[in-house]
Amino acid sequence: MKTNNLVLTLLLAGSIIISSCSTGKKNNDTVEDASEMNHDMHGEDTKHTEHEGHASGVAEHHHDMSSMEMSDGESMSWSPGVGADYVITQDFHFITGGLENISPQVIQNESGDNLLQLTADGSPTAFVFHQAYGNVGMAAMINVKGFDGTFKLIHHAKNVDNHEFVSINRGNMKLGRIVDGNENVFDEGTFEAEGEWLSLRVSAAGTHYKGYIGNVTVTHGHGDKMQDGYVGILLNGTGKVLIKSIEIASLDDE
Amino acid sequence: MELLLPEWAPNIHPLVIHFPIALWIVALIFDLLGIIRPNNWIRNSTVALYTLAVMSVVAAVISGRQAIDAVNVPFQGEVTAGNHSDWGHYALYFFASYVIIRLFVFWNRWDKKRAVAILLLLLGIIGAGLVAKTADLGGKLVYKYGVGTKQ
Repeated sequence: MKTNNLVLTLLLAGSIIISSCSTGKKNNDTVEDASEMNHDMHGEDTKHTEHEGHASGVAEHHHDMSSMEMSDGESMSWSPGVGADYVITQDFHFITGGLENISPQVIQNESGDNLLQLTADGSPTAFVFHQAYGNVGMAAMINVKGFDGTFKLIHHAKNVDNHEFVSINRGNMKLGRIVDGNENVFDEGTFEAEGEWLSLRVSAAGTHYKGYIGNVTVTHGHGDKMQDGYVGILLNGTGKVLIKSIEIASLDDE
Repeated sequence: MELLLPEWAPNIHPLVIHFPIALWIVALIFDLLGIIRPNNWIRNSTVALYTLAVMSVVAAVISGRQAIDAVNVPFQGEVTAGNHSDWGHYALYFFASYVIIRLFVFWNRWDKKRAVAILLLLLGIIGAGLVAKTADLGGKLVYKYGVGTKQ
Protein backbone atom coordinates (compact mmCIF):
# COMPACT_ATOMS: atom_id res chain seq x y z
CA MET A 1 0.00 0.00 0.00
CA LYS A 2 2.83 2.32 0.94
CA THR A 3 4.54 1.52 -2.36
CA ASN A 4 1.38 2.33 -4.31
CA ASN A 5 1.07 5.65 -2.50
CA LEU A 6 4.68 6.45 -3.28
CA VAL A 7 4.21 5.69 -6.98
CA LEU A 8 1.02 7.76 -7.05
CA THR A 9 2.78 10.68 -5.36
CA LEU A 10 5.68 10.53 -7.84
CA LEU A 11 3.29 10.44 -10.80
CA LEU A 12 1.39 13.42 -9.41
CA ALA A 13 4.61 15.38 -8.81
CA GLY A 14 5.81 14.56 -12.32
CA SER A 15 2.55 15.79 -13.83
CA ILE A 16 2.80 19.06 -11.91
CA ILE A 17 6.41 19.62 -13.08
CA ILE A 18 5.53 18.89 -16.72
CA SER A 19 2.48 21.16 -16.68
CA SER A 20 4.48 24.00 -15.09
CA CYS A 21 7.08 23.71 -17.86
CA SER A 22 4.47 23.98 -20.57
CA THR A 23 2.84 27.22 -19.52
CA GLY A 24 1.15 28.76 -22.53
CA LYS A 25 1.56 25.60 -24.58
CA LYS A 26 -1.14 23.22 -25.64
CA ASN A 27 0.71 20.04 -24.86
CA ASN A 28 4.02 18.63 -23.89
CA ASP A 29 4.96 17.80 -27.46
CA THR A 30 4.79 21.48 -28.28
CA VAL A 31 7.15 22.18 -25.42
CA GLU A 32 9.64 19.69 -26.79
CA ASP A 33 9.41 21.28 -30.22
CA ALA A 34 9.96 24.72 -28.80
CA SER A 35 13.08 23.66 -26.98
CA GLU A 36 14.36 22.03 -30.15
CA MET A 37 13.72 25.28 -31.93
CA ASN A 38 16.35 27.01 -29.89
CA HIS A 39 18.93 24.31 -29.41
CA ASP A 40 19.12 21.71 -32.09
CA MET A 41 21.79 19.14 -31.60
CA HIS A 42 21.45 16.65 -34.37
CA GLY A 43 24.92 15.53 -35.26
CA GLU A 44 26.50 17.33 -38.15
CA ASP A 45 23.44 19.08 -39.45
CA THR A 46 21.47 21.76 -37.75
CA LYS A 47 17.84 22.31 -38.46
CA HIS A 48 15.37 25.09 -38.00
CA THR A 49 11.87 23.94 -37.35
CA GLU A 50 8.73 25.60 -38.59
CA HIS A 51 8.18 26.79 -35.02
CA GLU A 52 10.88 29.42 -35.23
CA GLY A 53 9.53 32.87 -34.65
CA HIS A 54 6.09 31.67 -33.63
CA ALA A 55 6.55 32.45 -30.02
CA SER A 56 5.07 35.92 -30.02
CA GLY A 57 2.93 36.42 -26.95
CA VAL A 58 3.61 32.92 -25.70
CA ALA A 59 5.69 32.14 -22.65
CA GLU A 60 8.16 30.00 -24.49
CA HIS A 61 10.09 27.24 -22.85
CA HIS A 62 13.75 28.10 -23.23
CA HIS A 63 16.20 25.28 -22.87
CA ASP A 64 18.88 25.54 -20.24
CA MET A 65 22.18 25.53 -22.16
CA SER A 66 24.11 24.85 -19.00
CA SER A 67 22.75 21.31 -18.97
CA MET A 68 23.75 20.57 -22.58
CA GLU A 69 27.07 19.00 -23.44
CA MET A 70 28.24 18.63 -27.01
CA SER A 71 30.62 15.93 -28.17
CA ASP A 72 33.23 16.23 -30.90
CA GLY A 73 31.69 16.17 -34.35
CA GLU A 74 28.39 17.64 -33.20
CA SER A 75 27.02 21.04 -33.99
CA MET A 76 24.38 23.22 -32.44
CA SER A 77 22.33 26.13 -33.61
CA TRP A 78 21.17 28.77 -31.17
CA SER A 79 18.57 31.42 -31.77
CA PRO A 80 17.00 33.71 -29.20
CA GLY A 81 13.81 32.78 -27.45
CA VAL A 82 11.50 35.25 -25.75
CA GLY A 83 12.71 37.12 -22.68
CA ALA A 84 16.00 38.84 -23.36
CA ASP A 85 17.37 38.93 -19.82
CA TYR A 86 16.45 35.29 -19.41
CA VAL A 87 18.04 34.38 -22.76
CA ILE A 88 21.31 36.02 -21.84
CA THR A 89 21.58 34.84 -18.28
CA GLN A 90 20.36 31.30 -18.92
CA ASP A 91 22.41 30.47 -22.00
CA PHE A 92 25.51 32.59 -21.39
CA HIS A 93 27.66 33.98 -18.65
CA PHE A 94 29.58 37.23 -18.71
CA ILE A 95 33.35 37.34 -18.59
CA THR A 96 33.40 41.12 -18.66
CA GLY A 97 30.65 43.70 -18.41
CA GLY A 98 27.06 42.79 -17.71
CA LEU A 99 23.43 43.08 -18.77
CA GLU A 100 23.43 46.79 -17.97
CA ASN A 101 26.09 47.39 -20.63
CA ILE A 102 24.19 45.81 -23.52
CA SER A 103 20.50 46.29 -22.61
CA PRO A 104 19.32 43.09 -24.34
CA GLN A 105 15.94 42.91 -26.03
CA VAL A 106 14.33 40.21 -28.10
CA ILE A 107 12.50 41.69 -31.07
CA GLN A 108 11.00 40.16 -34.18
CA ASN A 109 11.69 40.90 -37.81
CA GLU A 110 9.09 41.01 -40.57
CA SER A 111 9.36 37.27 -41.06
CA GLY A 112 8.63 36.67 -37.41
CA ASP A 113 12.16 35.55 -36.52
CA ASN A 114 13.33 36.39 -33.05
CA LEU A 115 16.34 38.67 -32.98
CA LEU A 116 18.49 39.45 -29.99
CA GLN A 117 19.08 43.21 -29.98
CA LEU A 118 21.97 44.49 -27.91
CA THR A 119 22.50 48.18 -27.29
CA ALA A 120 26.12 48.64 -26.27
CA ASP A 121 27.05 51.57 -24.05
CA GLY A 122 30.76 51.60 -24.86
CA SER A 123 31.99 49.35 -22.07
CA PRO A 124 33.68 46.17 -23.28
CA THR A 125 31.18 43.39 -22.70
CA ALA A 126 31.64 39.70 -23.37
CA PHE A 127 29.24 36.84 -22.83
CA VAL A 128 30.02 33.21 -23.54
CA PHE A 129 28.21 29.88 -23.65
CA HIS A 130 28.69 27.65 -20.64
CA GLN A 131 30.53 24.80 -22.37
CA ALA A 132 34.27 24.91 -23.11
CA TYR A 133 35.57 23.73 -26.47
CA GLY A 134 38.87 22.73 -28.05
CA ASN A 135 38.77 22.66 -31.84
CA VAL A 136 35.71 24.67 -32.66
CA GLY A 137 33.82 26.43 -35.41
CA MET A 138 31.45 29.28 -34.71
CA ALA A 139 29.18 31.24 -37.01
CA ALA A 140 26.90 34.13 -36.14
CA MET A 141 24.27 35.80 -38.28
CA ILE A 142 24.56 39.42 -37.22
CA ASN A 143 23.60 42.93 -38.20
CA VAL A 144 26.13 45.54 -37.09
CA LYS A 145 24.99 48.44 -39.28
CA GLY A 146 23.93 50.38 -36.21
CA PHE A 147 27.05 49.59 -34.23
CA ASP A 148 30.15 51.73 -34.00
CA GLY A 149 33.03 49.71 -32.67
CA THR A 150 34.52 46.23 -32.68
CA PHE A 151 32.41 43.11 -32.77
CA LYS A 152 34.25 39.90 -31.86
CA LEU A 153 33.49 36.23 -31.95
CA ILE A 154 35.69 34.86 -29.20
CA HIS A 155 36.79 31.31 -28.54
CA HIS A 156 39.21 29.47 -26.26
CA ALA A 157 38.27 32.18 -23.78
CA LYS A 158 39.42 31.90 -20.19
CA ASN A 159 38.65 35.51 -19.40
CA VAL A 160 38.71 38.86 -21.15
CA ASP A 161 42.52 38.97 -21.05
CA ASN A 162 42.98 35.46 -22.44
CA HIS A 163 41.04 34.50 -25.52
CA GLU A 164 41.22 34.07 -29.28
CA PHE A 165 39.05 36.00 -31.65
CA VAL A 166 37.92 37.08 -35.05
CA SER A 167 36.84 40.70 -34.97
CA ILE A 168 35.21 43.05 -37.44
CA ASN A 169 35.13 46.81 -37.48
CA ARG A 170 33.83 48.72 -40.53
CA GLY A 171 34.91 46.28 -43.21
CA ASN A 172 38.15 45.28 -41.50
CA MET A 173 38.68 41.84 -40.03
CA LYS A 174 41.32 40.77 -37.55
CA LEU A 175 42.18 37.26 -36.48
CA GLY A 176 44.28 36.69 -33.41
CA ARG A 177 44.56 36.04 -29.73
CA ILE A 178 44.95 37.93 -26.50
CA VAL A 179 47.23 36.44 -23.88
CA ASP A 180 47.53 38.19 -20.52
CA GLY A 181 46.00 41.26 -22.13
CA ASN A 182 48.53 41.42 -24.99
CA GLU A 183 47.09 41.19 -28.50
CA ASN A 184 48.78 39.03 -31.13
CA VAL A 185 47.20 39.43 -34.56
CA PHE A 186 47.60 36.38 -36.82
CA ASP A 187 46.12 37.97 -39.92
CA GLU A 188 44.12 40.97 -41.08
CA GLY A 189 41.88 41.48 -44.09
CA THR A 190 39.12 43.57 -45.53
CA PHE A 191 35.69 42.67 -46.80
CA GLU A 192 32.68 44.32 -48.36
CA ALA A 193 29.41 43.68 -46.63
CA GLU A 194 26.54 42.85 -48.94
CA GLY A 195 23.26 43.74 -47.30
CA GLU A 196 22.59 44.36 -43.66
CA TRP A 197 23.20 40.85 -42.38
CA LEU A 198 26.58 39.20 -42.15
CA SER A 199 27.43 35.59 -41.55
CA LEU A 200 30.61 35.96 -39.52
CA ARG A 201 32.47 32.67 -39.07
CA VAL A 202 35.58 31.59 -37.27
CA SER A 203 37.25 28.22 -37.08
CA ALA A 204 40.03 27.04 -34.80
CA ALA A 205 41.38 23.68 -35.89
CA GLY A 206 44.63 22.71 -34.20
CA THR A 207 47.08 25.46 -35.04
CA HIS A 208 45.02 26.75 -37.98
CA TYR A 209 42.68 29.70 -37.56
CA LYS A 210 40.37 31.22 -40.13
CA GLY A 211 37.88 34.06 -40.29
CA TYR A 212 35.14 34.08 -42.90
CA ILE A 213 32.37 36.32 -44.10
CA GLY A 214 29.85 33.83 -45.41
CA ASN A 215 31.87 31.27 -47.34
CA VAL A 216 34.69 33.66 -48.21
CA THR A 217 37.93 33.31 -46.26
CA VAL A 218 39.06 36.78 -45.24
CA THR A 219 41.75 35.92 -42.70
CA HIS A 220 43.86 32.81 -42.16
CA GLY A 221 46.55 32.52 -39.54
CA HIS A 222 48.47 30.12 -37.37
CA GLY A 223 49.37 29.92 -33.72
CA ASP A 224 49.97 27.43 -30.94
CA LYS A 225 46.99 25.40 -29.89
CA MET A 226 45.35 26.85 -26.80
CA GLN A 227 43.66 25.03 -23.95
CA ASP A 228 39.91 24.51 -24.17
CA GLY A 229 37.87 27.61 -23.46
CA TYR A 230 34.51 29.24 -23.87
CA VAL A 231 33.00 30.61 -27.06
CA GLY A 232 30.89 33.72 -27.26
CA ILE A 233 30.63 37.35 -28.26
CA LEU A 234 32.53 40.45 -27.21
CA LEU A 235 31.32 43.97 -27.98
CA ASN A 236 33.50 47.02 -27.64
CA GLY A 237 31.68 50.08 -28.94
CA THR A 238 28.37 51.84 -28.96
CA GLY A 239 25.12 51.28 -30.77
CA LYS A 240 22.87 48.40 -31.73
CA VAL A 241 23.80 44.88 -32.71
CA LEU A 242 21.24 42.33 -33.88
CA ILE A 243 21.91 38.62 -33.56
CA LYS A 244 19.69 36.18 -35.42
CA SER A 245 21.49 32.94 -34.73
CA ILE A 246 24.73 31.39 -33.57
CA GLU A 247 26.04 28.04 -34.74
CA ILE A 248 28.72 26.16 -32.87
CA ALA A 249 30.48 23.07 -34.13
CA SER A 250 32.73 21.02 -31.91
CA LEU A 251 35.30 19.75 -34.37
CA ASP A 252 36.47 16.15 -34.54
CA ASP A 253 40.11 15.43 -34.02
CA GLU A 254 41.60 13.19 -36.68
CA MET B 1 46.99 30.93 -65.05
CA GLU B 2 43.25 30.72 -64.41
CA LEU B 3 42.63 30.79 -68.17
CA LEU B 4 44.49 27.50 -68.47
CA LEU B 5 42.29 25.84 -65.89
CA PRO B 6 39.56 23.48 -67.03
CA GLU B 7 36.09 24.83 -66.34
CA TRP B 8 35.42 22.15 -63.70
CA ALA B 9 38.58 22.77 -61.68
CA PRO B 10 38.24 25.06 -58.65
CA ASN B 11 41.98 25.82 -58.71
CA ILE B 12 45.27 24.39 -59.94
CA HIS B 13 45.98 22.33 -56.81
CA PRO B 14 44.11 19.15 -57.86
CA LEU B 15 46.02 19.15 -61.16
CA VAL B 16 49.43 19.51 -59.52
CA ILE B 17 49.18 17.09 -56.61
CA HIS B 18 49.49 13.93 -58.68
CA PHE B 19 53.03 14.78 -59.77
CA PRO B 20 54.78 14.36 -56.40
CA ILE B 21 52.90 11.13 -55.75
CA ALA B 22 53.77 9.63 -59.13
CA LEU B 23 57.32 10.98 -59.36
CA TRP B 24 58.30 9.88 -55.85
CA ILE B 25 56.92 6.37 -56.39
CA VAL B 26 58.66 6.00 -59.77
CA ALA B 27 61.87 7.32 -58.18
CA LEU B 28 61.58 4.63 -55.49
CA ILE B 29 61.13 1.93 -58.17
CA PHE B 30 64.23 3.21 -59.97
CA ASP B 31 66.08 3.24 -56.66
CA LEU B 32 65.17 -0.40 -56.11
CA LEU B 33 66.18 -1.29 -59.67
CA GLY B 34 69.49 0.48 -59.09
CA ILE B 35 70.18 -1.74 -56.11
CA ILE B 36 69.20 -4.93 -57.97
CA ARG B 37 70.98 -4.06 -61.24
CA PRO B 38 73.29 -1.09 -60.70
CA ASN B 39 74.04 1.02 -63.75
CA ASN B 40 74.69 4.69 -64.39
CA TRP B 41 71.55 5.38 -66.41
CA ILE B 42 69.31 4.19 -63.58
CA ARG B 43 71.44 6.03 -61.02
CA ASN B 44 71.19 9.32 -62.94
CA SER B 45 67.48 8.85 -63.60
CA THR B 46 66.78 8.14 -59.94
CA VAL B 47 68.35 11.39 -58.78
CA ALA B 48 66.60 13.29 -61.57
CA LEU B 49 63.23 11.81 -60.56
CA TYR B 50 63.71 12.68 -56.89
CA THR B 51 64.68 16.22 -57.88
CA LEU B 52 61.61 16.58 -60.08
CA ALA B 53 59.48 15.16 -57.26
CA VAL B 54 60.67 17.78 -54.79
CA MET B 55 59.99 20.53 -57.35
CA SER B 56 56.47 19.22 -57.78
CA VAL B 57 55.98 19.16 -53.99
CA VAL B 58 56.92 22.85 -53.88
CA ALA B 59 54.29 23.51 -56.57
CA ALA B 60 51.73 21.41 -54.67
CA VAL B 61 52.32 23.26 -51.39
CA ILE B 62 52.18 26.71 -53.01
CA SER B 63 49.01 25.87 -54.95
CA GLY B 64 47.54 24.29 -51.82
CA ARG B 65 48.07 27.47 -49.82
CA GLN B 66 46.21 29.43 -52.48
CA ALA B 67 43.49 26.81 -52.80
CA ILE B 68 42.60 26.49 -49.13
CA ASP B 69 41.52 30.13 -48.94
CA ALA B 70 39.57 29.93 -52.18
CA VAL B 71 37.36 26.96 -51.36
CA ASN B 72 34.56 26.52 -48.88
CA VAL B 73 35.53 24.18 -46.06
CA PRO B 74 32.70 23.03 -43.80
CA PHE B 75 33.41 23.29 -40.08
CA GLN B 76 33.80 19.53 -39.68
CA GLY B 77 36.42 19.51 -42.44
CA GLU B 78 38.61 22.20 -40.88
CA VAL B 79 40.73 19.84 -38.78
CA THR B 80 41.34 17.65 -41.83
CA ALA B 81 42.25 20.73 -43.87
CA GLY B 82 44.71 21.83 -41.20
CA ASN B 83 46.26 18.37 -40.95
CA HIS B 84 46.48 18.08 -44.74
CA SER B 85 48.37 21.34 -44.80
CA ASP B 86 50.67 20.29 -41.94
CA TRP B 87 51.53 16.92 -43.52
CA GLY B 88 52.09 18.62 -46.88
CA HIS B 89 54.64 20.86 -45.22
CA TYR B 90 56.29 17.92 -43.42
CA ALA B 91 56.56 16.17 -46.81
CA LEU B 92 58.08 19.28 -48.36
CA TYR B 93 60.72 19.65 -45.62
CA PHE B 94 61.56 15.95 -45.76
CA PHE B 95 61.72 15.81 -49.57
CA ALA B 96 63.86 18.93 -49.77
CA SER B 97 66.28 17.64 -47.13
CA TYR B 98 66.35 14.22 -48.74
CA VAL B 99 67.13 15.56 -52.20
CA ILE B 100 69.91 17.80 -50.85
CA ILE B 101 71.46 14.77 -49.13
CA ARG B 102 70.85 12.66 -52.23
CA LEU B 103 72.59 15.14 -54.53
CA PHE B 104 75.52 15.41 -52.13
CA VAL B 105 75.85 11.63 -52.00
CA PHE B 106 75.47 11.40 -55.78
CA TRP B 107 78.14 14.05 -56.33
CA ASN B 108 80.57 12.10 -54.15
CA ARG B 109 79.51 8.77 -55.71
CA TRP B 110 78.83 7.32 -52.26
CA ASP B 111 75.54 5.90 -53.50
CA LYS B 112 77.48 3.30 -55.47
CA LYS B 113 78.04 1.51 -52.17
CA ARG B 114 75.24 -0.98 -51.68
CA ALA B 115 74.72 -0.19 -47.97
CA VAL B 116 74.36 3.51 -48.69
CA ALA B 117 71.97 2.82 -51.57
CA ILE B 118 69.78 0.65 -49.33
CA LEU B 119 69.75 3.30 -46.60
CA LEU B 120 68.71 5.95 -49.15
CA LEU B 121 65.95 3.66 -50.42
CA LEU B 122 64.62 3.19 -46.88
CA LEU B 123 64.60 6.96 -46.35
CA GLY B 124 62.78 7.30 -49.67
CA ILE B 125 60.12 4.90 -48.43
CA ILE B 126 59.59 7.14 -45.40
CA GLY B 127 59.07 10.02 -47.85
CA ALA B 128 56.47 7.93 -49.68
CA GLY B 129 54.69 7.45 -46.35
CA LEU B 130 54.56 11.21 -45.83
CA VAL B 131 53.14 11.84 -49.27
CA ALA B 132 50.63 9.00 -48.79
CA LYS B 133 49.40 10.51 -45.52
CA THR B 134 49.08 13.94 -47.13
CA ALA B 135 47.22 12.47 -50.10
CA ASP B 136 44.91 10.50 -47.82
CA LEU B 137 43.90 13.68 -45.96
CA GLY B 138 43.45 15.53 -49.25
CA GLY B 139 41.18 12.76 -50.51
CA LYS B 140 39.18 12.93 -47.28
CA LEU B 141 38.71 16.67 -47.76
CA VAL B 142 37.25 16.13 -51.21
CA TYR B 143 35.33 12.88 -50.88
CA LYS B 144 34.13 13.15 -47.30
CA TYR B 145 33.64 16.90 -46.92
CA GLY B 146 33.12 17.87 -50.58
CA VAL B 147 35.80 20.57 -50.50
CA GLY B 148 36.47 22.02 -53.94
CA THR B 149 33.68 20.10 -55.59
CA LYS B 150 31.63 23.25 -56.17
CA GLN B 151 33.14 26.53 -57.30
